[in-house]
Amino acid sequence: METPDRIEREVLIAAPLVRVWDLISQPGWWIGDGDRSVLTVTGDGESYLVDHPQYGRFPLRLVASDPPRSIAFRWELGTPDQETRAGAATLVEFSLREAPGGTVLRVVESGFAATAEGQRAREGNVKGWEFQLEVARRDGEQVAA
Amino acid sequence: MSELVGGFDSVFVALADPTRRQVLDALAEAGPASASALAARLPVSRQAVVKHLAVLASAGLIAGGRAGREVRYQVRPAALDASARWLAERAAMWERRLQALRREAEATEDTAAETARSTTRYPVRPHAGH
Repeated sequence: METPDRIEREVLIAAPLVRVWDLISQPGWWIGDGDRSVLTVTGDGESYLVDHPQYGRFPLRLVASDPPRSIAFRWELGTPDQETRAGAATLVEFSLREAPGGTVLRVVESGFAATAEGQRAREGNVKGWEFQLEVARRDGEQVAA
Repeated sequence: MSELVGGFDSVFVALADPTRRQVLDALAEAGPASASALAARLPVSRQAVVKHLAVLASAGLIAGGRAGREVRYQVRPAALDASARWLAERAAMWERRLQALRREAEATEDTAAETARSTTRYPVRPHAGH
């Protein structure tokens, strides 16, 4: 059985590599329905927030960049104001190579299992803290009594 | 979470472990089998097999039923099929995004090529001669 934890796709584009690089190096270009003009992207070169008028806000983190060959982002679920979801993310990697007829763009999205496991761990942490706080409260009240 | 992994988080976690995938594969091949029978087919201890079976069962990938004095497990394809479908849909989404990007890259490329070509009637293509 193949590992189910990744998606890999390729497309041949009849355009020079640098032209494709210009497009794929824009954070969040893939978010939405193929119309990047509706996206508002803010960021500091490492962390980005991509705002789509319909689909909402998507935090991205640039994790690797090797111009004009490859670039990788952590694509997070939820927005910074939804703290419980922070950290749930997949890794999206784009790479380019020259081929007869143009440029091959390859995308790999991975980390679904890691994301699920991470989420579980965080839920565990939250419960852990609730327990600790409850213990502290009880102890505090006992001393007070 | 369910938006990100389509509610199949336990399936993905269960399948992320290579030994667990081996256990599932062995079970798919062997048909209904007990933990001991599976351990005999695999390079892992019976205790390890039991643990992996528990994770697979809680993800809904297998189900155990009592047969005499032993518990026999068998594959339940529904959970795996559903998560595979979800993954396929997500892959199809990437397909659409890549095609949209291709059109965009090629459209501007055509415009650029058109401008370059405006003085020459035909594009120059490499060919092997006569």
